Amino acid sequence: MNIIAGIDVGNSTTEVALADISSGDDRPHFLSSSTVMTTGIKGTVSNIPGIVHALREATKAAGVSIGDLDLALLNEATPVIGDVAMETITETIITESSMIGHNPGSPGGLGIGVGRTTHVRDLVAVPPDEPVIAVVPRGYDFEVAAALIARALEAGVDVRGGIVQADDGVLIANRLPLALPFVDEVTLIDRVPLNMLAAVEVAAQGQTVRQLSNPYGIATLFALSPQETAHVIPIARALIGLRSAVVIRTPSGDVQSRRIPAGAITLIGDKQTQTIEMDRGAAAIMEGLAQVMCLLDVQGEVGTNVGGMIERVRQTMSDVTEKHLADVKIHDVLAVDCLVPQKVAGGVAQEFSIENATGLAIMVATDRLLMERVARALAQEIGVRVELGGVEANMAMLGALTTPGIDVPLAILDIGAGSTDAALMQKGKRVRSIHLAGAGQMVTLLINNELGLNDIEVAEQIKLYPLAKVESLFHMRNEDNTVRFFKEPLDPRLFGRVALVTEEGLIPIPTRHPLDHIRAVRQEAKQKVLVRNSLRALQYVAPVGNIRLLDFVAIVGRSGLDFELSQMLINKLNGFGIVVGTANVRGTQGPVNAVATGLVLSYVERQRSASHG
Amino acid sequence: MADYQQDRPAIHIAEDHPDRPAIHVSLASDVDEALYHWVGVGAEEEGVPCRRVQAGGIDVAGLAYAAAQSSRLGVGVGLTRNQVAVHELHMPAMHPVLILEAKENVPQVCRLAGSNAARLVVRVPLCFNEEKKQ
Repeated sequence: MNIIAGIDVGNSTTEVALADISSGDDRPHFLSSSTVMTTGIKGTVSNIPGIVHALREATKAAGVSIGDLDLALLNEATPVIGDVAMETITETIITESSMIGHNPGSPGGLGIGVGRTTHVRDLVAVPPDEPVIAVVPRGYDFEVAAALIARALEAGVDVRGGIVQADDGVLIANRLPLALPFVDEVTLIDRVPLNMLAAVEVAAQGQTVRQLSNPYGIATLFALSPQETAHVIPIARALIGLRSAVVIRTPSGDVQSRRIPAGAITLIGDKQTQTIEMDRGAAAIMEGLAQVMCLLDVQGEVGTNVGGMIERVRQTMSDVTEKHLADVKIHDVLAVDCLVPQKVAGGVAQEFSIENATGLAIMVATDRLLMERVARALAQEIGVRVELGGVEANMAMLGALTTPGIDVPLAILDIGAGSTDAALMQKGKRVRSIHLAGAGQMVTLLINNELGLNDIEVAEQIKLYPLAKVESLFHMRNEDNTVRFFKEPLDPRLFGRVALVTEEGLIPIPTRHPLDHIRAVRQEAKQKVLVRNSLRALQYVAPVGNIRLLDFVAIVGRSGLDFELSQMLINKLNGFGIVVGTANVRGTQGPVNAVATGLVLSYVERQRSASHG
Repeated sequence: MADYQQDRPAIHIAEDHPDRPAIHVSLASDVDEALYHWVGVGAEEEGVPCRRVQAGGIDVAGLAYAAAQSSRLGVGVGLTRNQVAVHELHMPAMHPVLILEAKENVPQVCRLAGSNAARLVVRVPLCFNEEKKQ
């Protein structure tokens, strides 16, 4: 036997195709394939353990050992490495605790009350004609607090509502002779100033506060002048959509909504250079990019957020490629607008406000030297001859062409973790290819930030799996509204939760977002990054830049396995009269293993033309 | 304070309408009756009424299961000297939704059980000891 292995090291997975090429005819006989997670950053020697692992899996499946290999072919210098970053460009700051607005599970009572904030133990001493709001720290059990408030009411004190630290709002409200609003779960109750005029509002179930989310409503309650009313607009805005809220009138208290000086980004092209302020948003940046055309490098304004962000990426790339910092050039940028929940600075009940942010995916080009280094190290490690087998786009094309029913002219689309790649093959012409910044990692970043998860692993899983809501201990409702029943009761920890439907069963998502919101964020992130970038990439490789001139597009790579992306792309590209489908490499592998397969095919091809020539 | 409580019985006890849907709570004979109050407090927080019932059953799961069977909401809580169980109508009899150890801090454990029984009714995620907000 004469066994060779095609090895494709990608940003997230390493794939191997093993073939016997001794049969004499032109066609290699494929023995096995494998896919494992890539170790380290693509193009570095830390890839070796992953490669060896993948080779071991493939050889085991074929019933041979790594030592039996005659040759290993590595994909040639993957030309790009990408990175992603995100910065918020607006923020909300509360000074002197003038506002509490949040959605506790169960605020108590109903209605709106205005009065001076008074500690619950001091209520009885208040003169009868002065309206008060009771402030109840955790040390006061709900029965004690309710008794104190009830006694004060009996004594004629005009209690109008309350602010409670523990989750006791309902219990206190239920024990009073009057229906009064109580906002609870106010964690930092010590920061609530006493003896200040405050308004407490609790909306009915299924409704949101009306008076305190309306600037004129606040003005009415506090008898504000038109000038003062202008100052409460950010407060009212921050309280929109909440079930309970408190506004406190302090002498200098204020809520500010301000724009963070995010800095400017400079796009240096071969013909012109453009500088764009970050706070003009993603659309302006992408428009600038289109005008600059061929991007040579990108710089961020020194001393600003965007400056720091771009330098961080450059530094990472410089470390990986061992190039000098000044030689690391950014070749593409993708900017995406998003809305992220941010903790309000100075809040007392862990309030969040929705702020604007811009995400940037950045890509730098590396060179062939990198992969040669990996090849040398690999040869040493496994004791087998290792060669660089050809440009990645061409290899992917060869692999994709083994899909049943496919022929040239063909464009392929490979959406990886770090970059979105497209290539076009036409009869008698060289393969044209492009690599763009922004792919799977960027989607994960958007999901993580827009849902406020602070957990990249969870965000990654949300990207990969459909959602379901566990509605009872025996059934769940999938995101398409179909219902699935179970014979055995589900884990009570899943009850009432939104969960991911994975091969390993249901995984609950640790967040309070409803299913519809999570789904909308996930789909929008894929639209904003993957679908848009696919169009950008196809446009670039299409004849005369006209995407309508493409006939067939095949999706290769792991993105082809995404449960909804193919449909999204088919829907989008159908509008341009293009036939789109997911590749099925060798008729068996689905969209993966295209490059590894292509490496083997290309080697056989080269051997044949050498022997014929 | 105690007088005040007696004047105003907790609103969740629906003795006037025995058919009104409620979570059923069954106590073993040797359990301090005052603990029923804490189960009720937990359920009240979520806005679901509770009713005390006499149900058979030899262990905590049995008590809770019998209580759930008799409840129109299909949710029951059983209390024994050392344990509290929350049960649901459709679950296998010997397999309660939750069993909590009630050796120390018993009122808090009862309150948590009441809260979770109510959460089963209103279909929001259950609250487990370790994630209980402090």
